Amino acid sequence: MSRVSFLLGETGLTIRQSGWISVVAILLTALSFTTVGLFLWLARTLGNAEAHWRGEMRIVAYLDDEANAQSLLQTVRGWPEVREARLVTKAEALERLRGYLADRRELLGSLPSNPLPASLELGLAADAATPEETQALAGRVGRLRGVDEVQYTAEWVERLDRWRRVLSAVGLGIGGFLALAAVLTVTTSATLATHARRREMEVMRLVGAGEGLIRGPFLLQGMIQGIVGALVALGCLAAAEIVLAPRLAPLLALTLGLEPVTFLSPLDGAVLLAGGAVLGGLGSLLAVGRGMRP
Amino acid sequence: MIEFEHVSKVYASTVSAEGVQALDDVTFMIQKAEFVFVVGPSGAGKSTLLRLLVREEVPTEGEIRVGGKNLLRLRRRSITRLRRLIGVIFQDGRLLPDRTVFDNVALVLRVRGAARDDVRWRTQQALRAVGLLPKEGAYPRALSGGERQRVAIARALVREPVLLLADEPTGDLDDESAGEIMELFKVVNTRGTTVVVATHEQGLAARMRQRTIQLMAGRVVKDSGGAV
Ligand SMILES: Nc1ncnc2c1ncn2[C@@H]1O[C@H](COP(=O)(O)OP(=O)(O)OP(=O)(O)O)[C@@H](O)[C@H]1O
Ligand SMILES: [Mg+2]
Repeated sequence: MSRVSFLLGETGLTIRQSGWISVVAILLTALSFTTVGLFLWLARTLGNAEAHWRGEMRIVAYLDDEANAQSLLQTVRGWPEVREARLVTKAEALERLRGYLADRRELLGSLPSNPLPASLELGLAADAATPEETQALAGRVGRLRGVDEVQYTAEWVERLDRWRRVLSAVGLGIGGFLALAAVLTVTTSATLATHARRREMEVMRLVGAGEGLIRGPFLLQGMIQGIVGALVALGCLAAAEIVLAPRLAPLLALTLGLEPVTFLSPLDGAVLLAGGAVLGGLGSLLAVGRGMRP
Repeated sequence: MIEFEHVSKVYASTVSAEGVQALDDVTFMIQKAEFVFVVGPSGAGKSTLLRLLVREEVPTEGEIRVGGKNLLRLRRRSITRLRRLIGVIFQDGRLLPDRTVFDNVALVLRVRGAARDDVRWRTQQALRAVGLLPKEGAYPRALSGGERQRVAIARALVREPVLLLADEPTGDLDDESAGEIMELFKVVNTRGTTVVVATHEQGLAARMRQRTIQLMAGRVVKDSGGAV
């Protein structure tokens, strides 16, 4: 216990001695994590939109008036890609239209007969809800006898997917680059500190301090820098959430039909802090790790 | 306790290509609880001899054993453990500049994980013994040369070492203070600590009437006792 408190005291001394360069290390870590955080948030939002729309992905097959709707329904229900299939009869279609038109219902009153076709609405099984599968399935549905026309939406979900990938890659790329800079800054700061304290470390060795006590403080310092950097990043991301979320919410709801996802779950926070510790620890290990024995 | 067997030390040098011969075929033995002076003029190799004993330097030739252990064969951890049994007073003090007098002395207790109360008590004891308790909160730069030397002495004694190595411990002290320190060493010695004091002051060694190993240009020229 006393050794632990001594180690912490030594770490405090190391931190006080290292000054501005540890501030730079902290800022770089923070910058790196904020960047990754923002890009991942964007990617996650798009991912949610995509999942949402994949869940909504439907194929609508309009039937001609002679079609045997019930047997078609049985047929498509037998296909494994089809999660659910529903028959919308001509009457139901008209009923829906009435619903949509609401107060302008009188427009429909003058119709001589029901002009709307019956249709089959197919929901896709989760593993079949890809653009390719949807297209293939739509083709098969279209070739069935009695099916007049097939409609499906898939293409832009695909585009969403591409954007999500690009954003993740860019975010991880920039973030990784900054993380490398952060690691090297921590390394530099630890190297400078060990140089400044070389004589002191030698004296400590001569009075019987083990390597753990001598180099441990630098390792801890690096980890603390990383964790503080992560905390700053968490602060930035939280601030961004508070400022941006209310502004983005209407836009997202309009374009993607989505609630914006929250920036950070407690798990994200924990991962960020652990990442900071690892980053900082790695940085100082590069400086003082050589020849260090447990 | 200490055995030197045909020990030579040659330092690499910027002055001459073959280096500086600091010790030349030195052989002697010091028993447990002996009190020994190593004397000789400046440059004779006294500090080198002590530096070899804490393995700050390694001999170019020969073998050194401390407590029966060959220093060259020790792994790093064993060296650390050995150093915890030795109290060293370096000729140049080697206090840590950014720590107070108290922390400088307490350091050697803390590195081996002593409890807080124990550290406080022993450190103050040691500082009281060298008359520096009133300055426990001062930083080394605010001390006189003699005061610094006394801090170094307190640091070496605080751990009640099995072996005390003192390199010119009284160089900056007046005769009276020097006498007090020597009395202190004697007390420590009667409690069983082996004491080795390096000094160029022949008089000091003579006054103390202890075994004296005399060095001259790296060679033992006289040893007033002990089994060689
Ligand atoms: N690190 C070193 N590199 C090169 N030469 C050294 C080194 N340390 C000591 N020497 C040389 O070795 C010789 C012995 O030095 P040492 O310090 O052991 O002498 P000393 O007896 O302690 O002298 P003093 O009484 O002045 O302290 C000297 O000639 C010195 O110049
Ligand atoms: Mg000397």
